[in-house]
Order: sequence, then C-alpha cells, then structure tokens
Amino acid sequence: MTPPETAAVRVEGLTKIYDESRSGRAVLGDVNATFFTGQFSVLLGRSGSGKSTLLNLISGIDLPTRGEIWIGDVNVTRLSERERTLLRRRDIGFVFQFFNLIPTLTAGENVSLPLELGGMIEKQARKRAETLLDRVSLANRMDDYPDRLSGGEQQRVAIARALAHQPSLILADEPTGNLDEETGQTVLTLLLELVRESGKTMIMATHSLEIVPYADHVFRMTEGQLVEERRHRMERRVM
Amino acid sequence: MSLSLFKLGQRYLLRRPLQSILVVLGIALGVAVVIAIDLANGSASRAFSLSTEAISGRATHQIVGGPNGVPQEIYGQLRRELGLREVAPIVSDYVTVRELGDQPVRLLGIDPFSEAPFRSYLGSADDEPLSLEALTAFLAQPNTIFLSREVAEQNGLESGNTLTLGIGPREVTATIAGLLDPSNELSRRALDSLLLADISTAQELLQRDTLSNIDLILPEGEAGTAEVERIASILPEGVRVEQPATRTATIQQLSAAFELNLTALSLLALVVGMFLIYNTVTFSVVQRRPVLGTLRALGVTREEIFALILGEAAVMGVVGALFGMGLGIVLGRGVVGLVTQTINDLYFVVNVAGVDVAPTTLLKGSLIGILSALLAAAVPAWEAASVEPVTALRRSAIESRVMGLLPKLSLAGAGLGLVGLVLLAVSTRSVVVSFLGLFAVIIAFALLTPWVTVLFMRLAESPLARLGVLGRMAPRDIVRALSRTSVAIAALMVAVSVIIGVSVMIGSFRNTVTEWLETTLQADIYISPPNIAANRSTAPMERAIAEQVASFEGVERISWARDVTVASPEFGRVQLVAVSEEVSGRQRPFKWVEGSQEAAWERAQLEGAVFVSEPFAFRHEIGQGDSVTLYTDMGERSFPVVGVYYDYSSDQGVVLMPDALYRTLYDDPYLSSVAAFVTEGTDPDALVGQLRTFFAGEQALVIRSNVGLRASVLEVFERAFAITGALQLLATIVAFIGVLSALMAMQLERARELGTLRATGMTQRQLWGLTMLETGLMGSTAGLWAMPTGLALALVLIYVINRRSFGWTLQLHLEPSALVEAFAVALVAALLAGIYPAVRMSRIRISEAIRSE
Repeated sequence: MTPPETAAVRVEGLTKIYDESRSGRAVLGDVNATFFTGQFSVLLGRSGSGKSTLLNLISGIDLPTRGEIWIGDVNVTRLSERERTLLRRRDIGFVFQFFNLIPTLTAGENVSLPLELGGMIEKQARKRAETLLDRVSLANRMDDYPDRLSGGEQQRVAIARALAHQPSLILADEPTGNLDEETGQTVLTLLLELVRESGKTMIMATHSLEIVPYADHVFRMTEGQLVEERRHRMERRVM
Repeated sequence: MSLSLFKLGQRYLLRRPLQSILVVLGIALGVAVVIAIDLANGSASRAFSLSTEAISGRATHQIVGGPNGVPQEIYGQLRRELGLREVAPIVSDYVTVRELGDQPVRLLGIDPFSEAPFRSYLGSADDEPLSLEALTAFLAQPNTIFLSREVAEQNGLESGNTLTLGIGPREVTATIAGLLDPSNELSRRALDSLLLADISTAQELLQRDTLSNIDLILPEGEAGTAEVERIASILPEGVRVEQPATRTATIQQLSAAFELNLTALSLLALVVGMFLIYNTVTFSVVQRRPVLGTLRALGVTREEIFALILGEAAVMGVVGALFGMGLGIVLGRGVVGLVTQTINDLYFVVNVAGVDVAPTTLLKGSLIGILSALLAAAVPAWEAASVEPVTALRRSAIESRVMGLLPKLSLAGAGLGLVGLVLLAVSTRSVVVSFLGLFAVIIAFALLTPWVTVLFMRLAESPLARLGVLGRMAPRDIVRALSRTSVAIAALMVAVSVIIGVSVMIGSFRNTVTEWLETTLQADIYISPPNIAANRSTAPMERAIAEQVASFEGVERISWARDVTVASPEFGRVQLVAVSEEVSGRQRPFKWVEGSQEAAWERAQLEGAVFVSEPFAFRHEIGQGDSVTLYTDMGERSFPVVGVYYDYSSDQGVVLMPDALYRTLYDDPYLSSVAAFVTEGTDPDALVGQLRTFFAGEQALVIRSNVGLRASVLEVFERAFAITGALQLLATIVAFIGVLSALMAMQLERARELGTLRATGMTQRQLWGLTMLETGLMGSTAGLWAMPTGLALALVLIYVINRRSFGWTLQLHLEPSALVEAFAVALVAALLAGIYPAVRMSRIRISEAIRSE
C-alpha cells in the first residue's frame, strides 16, 4: 500500500512585488502550490518567470509581499530573520547554478560549513564531510580549494554541502545550468540518487525540459503564475 | 576623451557615492592638514614680517647697540654733526597688558617730530587728524599712550582709560591719550600689537636712558655706502649700522626648522591619503572589468582607458582639494594658535590676529592634493590600460599577480629602505634630505606590508582555527584579497607608526630634558621677572633684588645670570648668557670640555674663554680649538671655546661666559635671574612663600622652587608638542577612512560569497563575528607591523632629524606603553571601521547577493 502523501512545503496566495517603480512589478502573483514529502518537484520556466524568486521565498532568504509559506507545520512568513536563518541551517540545503563555493575554504571545509555553523565540532564535521565527499567521488579532493576543481567537481562539492546537515528539503536553482551537457547529466543523476536515497524533498528550478522526465511533479511558471501542473512517475528511469 | 567615455566615468562616480565620498574625504583631510600647517606657519611668519616691516617703516638702515641699546647722544650727533635729517630715535620693548588679556605687545617709543618720513601711525594726509587735545596729552603728560581703535573696541576700551603694563618685574599704569585709526592697511595691522608712546614716555616706562635703535633713511648705491661709513666713524664701540631687512630675516630663520618639521608631519597625512586613493581606484578598475573589456573590444585605446581612470581620480582630487581648502582654512584657524604659542615660547614674539589666507598656500595645497590623487591612481590606471581585454583584471587575476609580485615588492621595499638609509647616513645638514630619507624608509616598510600580512595570517591561522570555521576563514579572506587588504593595512600601519615614532621621540626628548634639568638645575629657588619667552629670562632685573634675596634667612648663597641677545660678525644674533657661577655645581653634562670642567671654568674666568651649547656648536660648525667673535661695548672681541655643553633650552644655541667677564665687556647693570641655594634644614617651599610675600606689591617676580621650575619647563615642552598630537590624530583619521573604504570594497566584491554564507545558515551575528575578526586581524597586523616601523621612525627622528633640525643629542627612551597604546589605536580604528561594513553585510539581500557576479 502506498503511504499517504504529506505536504513538505505549501505556498498559499504567494505574491512578490519588487518596488522598482511606484507601480511595482509583480514577480509572483497569487501562487498556490503544494510540494510533497520525499518527492522531486520541478519548477519549469523561462528566465525571469519567477522560479528563483519562489525558491528564495520558500527558503526564507526573501519575504513575500503577500501570502504564506509553510514548511511542514512551520509558517515561514511568521518567522524572524534569525529564525529563518536557523531554519535554513537545520532544514534546507541549497544547490546553486554557479556552485557558490566559498573560495577561502577547502572542498572539505565547504561541505562541513553548515555543520560547523550549527555548532558541530570540527573533527566530527570533517568526518561527515569526508563521508559525503566520498559519496560524490571526491574524497581525494578534500583539501583542495575550489579554484583547483573543475565545474562538475565544484557542483558535486556543492551537492555534498547541501546534504551535509541532513536537511529535509533541498532547493536547487538551475544546478546544471553552468555545466556542459555530459557533466550536467552526471551531476543531475548524482543529485537525484542522493536525494532519493535519503528520502528528501527536492524542488528544482530549471528551464531545461530534459529534467522533466525525472520529476514527480512539474510546475510550469509563466510570468509569475503557476499555469500548469503535471504529475510524472518517471523516477524509475533514474533509480 | 570622448563624451561617452566622460559620461561613463561620471556615472560610475555617482553610482558609488559612498566610495567617492570616502576618497574625497581622504583627499580633503590630507589637503586640509597641509594647508592648515602652511597657513599657520605663513600667518605667523607674515604677521612677524608685517609688524617688523611696519615698525621699521621706510627706514633703510638702523643703528643698533649691545644689550643696553644705543646711547641717545648719538641721535643728536647724527643731526648736528652729520647734518642728517631723516633720522628717528626708537625705544621699544615687549610689555604685557592686563586689559588686553596679558598678551605681549610692543611698546614703541617714537619722536613724533622725526616720524613723518618713516611711519604714518600718527595719521597720513588722508586720515582724520588726531585731536589737538590728544596730541598734547601724548607729548606732555607722563605715561600716556596711543592705541589702535580696532584693538580698543575689541577690548571695550576708550580714550582716557588706564592700562596696566607688565614690564619685567614691575607693573605700571598708562593712560590712553587717543585712538589711532590709520587708513593705511600696513599701519593698521602693525597697530594690532603695538602701543605707541612718546619716546621720553617709553624711556620712563621702560626705565632706560638709552635708545633701542635709531632709524635712518639713506640713499641707495655708493652715496648710501659712503653715508654708512661716515656714520660708522662717529659711532662708539659696540654700536653699528645694520639693515632692518637682514635683521628680520635672521629672526625669522629661528623658527624655520620648527616649521619645516611641522610641514613634513602634515605631508604624512597626505601620504596616508594616497593609499586610500590607490585602493579605491584599484577597486573601481576591478569592479568594471567587463565594461573596460568591452570598451577595449569596441576599439577604445589603452590611452583612453588610462585617461578615463586618471580623469576620475582627477575629479575626486579636485573635489577633495576644494573641500580641503575650506577645511584647511577652518583647521588653520585652530592650528595657528598652537603654532604661534610655540613660536612665542621658544623663538620670538609674534601676534597673529587672524589666519592670513594666502592664495598661494591654497593653490599649493590643492595642487599637492590633486597630484597625489593622480600619482596614486596612475598604477591602477596603467594596469587597466595594459591588460588584455579577455583577462581584464579579474580580482583573482589581480590577486594571483600580487602574490606573484610579493617577492619583487618586498625586494623593492628592501631596496627603497636602503636608499632611505643612505640618504640618512649621507653627511649632510639638509633637513629636507633627511626627511626624504625618512619618507623612503616609511614607504619601504609599507611595501613590505603585503609580505608581512601573508606571514602574519599564516601564523594566525592555526590558533584561530580553534574558533571554528569563521576562525579559519578570516585570515584566508585577508590573504585572498591581499591587493586590497594590504594597502589598507599599510595605510593604517603608516599612521600608527607615526604615532609610535613621534611618541617615542617625544618620550625620549622629555626624558633627556628631565635628566638634563635634574643635573643642571642644582639651586633650590629660582627668581626672575615675568618673561615674554618661555625658554629665556631676558627681562632686566635690578641687582638690588639679588642682594635682598641673598640676605634672606635660610639662603646660603646666590648665583645669578644675565641673558641677552648680542650680535656677532660671524653668527648674527647670538644668545649670550653670563653666569656668576656654575649653577649646576659642576654637574653640567658636557659633550666636550677642554681638560677638566674646573680647568675650563678657570680658563674662562682668567683668560676670557666661553662655552657654547651643543646646538650652537652644531649650527655654526664650531668646536674644539675654535673661537666665537662678538660685538661688545668694548668693540669686537674673540673668545676661545673651551667646552661644548648639552642644553635643550634653545635650538639656536647659547654662548655661556662668566659674569665677571661679561661685566667688563658690556655696560649692563642688570641681571636676568637669580638662583638661591638654601642652608641645610631650610624648606625651599616655605622660603619661596616668604620671598613671594616679601616682594608682593613691589616687584612682580616669578619665584619658583627647583621642582616648580622643572614643572614649568616641562609644561612649555608639552605645549610645544601639542600640535604633533593633533597631526597624528588627523593622519589616523585618514587611515581609518582607508580601512573603512577597503572593507566596503571587499564587501561589494564578496557579495555572492556572503550571500551564500547567509543562505547556508550563517546568522547575522556570525557574519558580524567574521567581519570583526577580519578587521581585527587587519588592525592587529597594522599595529604589530607599526612597531618596528615606528621604532625605525623614532630612531631617525631622534638621531637624524632632531639633530639636523635643532642640533640636539637625545637619549633613546622607550616606554613599552607607547607601543601598547599604538597597537590599541590600530586595533580600535580597524574595529570601528568594520562596524558600518558589518552592518551593511548583515543586511545584505541574500537573494540578490547569491546571484551577483
């Protein structure tokens, strides 16, 4: 019997207006969506359609103009700045298009960063980083700085960092957008494998239709609106 | 440069207002300090020239005498025997006026009937004539004076009021017979610090029967020379003809070294400001790398790119210089008081009514500011123009270049340091060359800063790693942005090293003076009339006062001194001090003495030899085996020098001779000061009290115990260095702006990194911690590196600059607290500079930052 689906993330009436002029520009307009626990959802849309803004709002690094965001039973929009930061530290892992590794930290230190920020002692954090880097086949690059790694390697380190603190939610913003096709495919496969394996929820913003077959849910975004919702069951193709 | 490039530059500056404002502020402060010091020096100097020129009037020559002046019979002889008509007798001295806030003013005694060809205080044809009543009172009534209407109005005085004049140990009253209001600007300014009296009134007030000088108007050329010879033939020994301009120039030269030292110190603030400009321009170049690359790709030439960057720096330089001018004038008004106080204390009397805003000073200061901006911007501008568009100055490219340049940079630093040392070691008396050497040494240390920063950060990494990931990140962040951080650290380091260098120099100076006072001042009580100058007792005192002191119960014996200015054919004006005995009890420290001290004193007394102070020997390059020639009342006399002693009371130097010898050479009945040795068991402080009571009401004497005199000497000392403290503070403020600007630039450059950290779960507090850790490390590096730099600076100041400027030998005295304080200044300045960037960083819009380039 299939367990009942529970909502990992729920957004209700979400609107984001950037006050660039007096009239303001609505990047998101009254968006409603539910992202289920353990599932891989894709936000599909062109540049400027509002995908990244939606991810930023869900993670609490930006606040909506109107509407509510629920992660589990926590209303993110009601949290203080510090509470939102701690929520990210505890429950959210980020994978960015441009990897965003900290250049002054080694690959290992980048992975252990969220753990150490959360108070874990260095030795333990390093051990966990070692395990994760091994998992992404970069155990031998533990002490290398980002500028010594290739783009694909950097993104694998970023994936390990996103998973280091065992968050329940992974937010990925065009994770393959800055990689060549082959490397992108490898990175995507690895990311999905790790996410599936640990039963985490992942929301990925992308403009690439090639990712769609791997998704449980696909949300199409156009001009700040969720205009279409399709459900896929193609995960077996990658698992 | 094309209009579009011009617009590009203009918009960039406007888009980064805070960065532009900080640079403008840095330049403005640097320019302001240079202008302020120049204005203060210039105002003091011009005020002195104007007052002396105005007093000399149209006199081409002056007849001057020894300490006791010119016998007044000579005036009659000149008129009667030589038939000269343009001759005016003058009696003049400085007095203090209670009603004018006890400021020293010159009492000028004139003969109104001889005055017309020389000066126009009493009114020219254009002026409203003085009333007959006022003129009659001026000529006929005793103790009447004329005062400037402007001064009278400023002090709420009017005709008929009484003034209390302090003349040496006496206080006398004088009545204002009338107020002078000449239309001539020169006369008006001269009158700001002048009391005019009839010559006989002045003689009565000053209790003298001689003249200070006789002014002459002689024809130019051969006729004038012949006239001078004719006059000289009737003059007695010790009286001679001089040109007033020479005399003024000689006096003004006294404070030249002091003013040069101030100017050099003021330039330091500008040097610190140059680091700030360099940093900001580099940042602007790096930040616009895609734009510059695109421009190059579109066909903009290297020269145009160079001109664009330099043009922006020039705009900031011009704006900074304009603000600097205004600020400099305001600052100058504050500083002029400190400068004139020191000149009055140590060199000569000058009253500066206000700051004289000389256009040349403003122009000079502004040009220095703009040129500094262009010079500092030249390197980044050249970099922007010379790098290929593709690689156009990525921050990482610059950083790797800086890391690659480190050995060369450090070698250049070492090389420049050597050049500096050679300049300092070279046998020259030029203070300017010495300062060039000093600046070279400072820049050398600054060039070594990147290497030192990397070294310190590597050393700090291990202990800081215990603080966790933030502790590991901070030193690496500093090394990663080395081209920026090291420049900010260098700026702060230079400012702090100046604090250390100057503090150690002042501390050493203070310590040397204290020790010198302890050995030299052996008497228990010192008595002198109030004096205008703080470092000399020149006001005449009746010998009877010494006898009264000697007869006091508890006084074992007394000694006295006479301090006068005499003329020397070889050395110009010379401070001559005649002493009745060696007041130090043979403890006076000598740099060199012929035989023993006793033998030298014996020779001085028996054979008419003299001692000279160290600055005198240095200034005039004399020593063992040399002699000093002076004009005496008995004619020109030469005295062998039998010793060179340490003395810190005057940088012009002193000739010391036995009193007995002085009295045989000069017709001078007065003393300048008396020193009393008390009998065993007598309390000097109690005796000071008794002496004060005894002389109260009769003589305004300054009676001080040994301790009191030392304290007042040190008070003058502290006053003389007050201005250096202000200059240090300003240099530190400029460095603070440099660190602030560097941190803000770093913040902009690291936006994505900071955004990622925040997205990954770094709290605002942790980000604050990281920023503070980084600024703390930068401040600590600057503070630590400033210690050897500051000590090197102190050694140069003590052993080279002071010596070549003033001729003093100072003993190095190092107070560890000076180093600790300077380190604290560096750390606190850096931490304070970190606050605003930290606030901004913690408020960063994460969503924008993580996507920014």
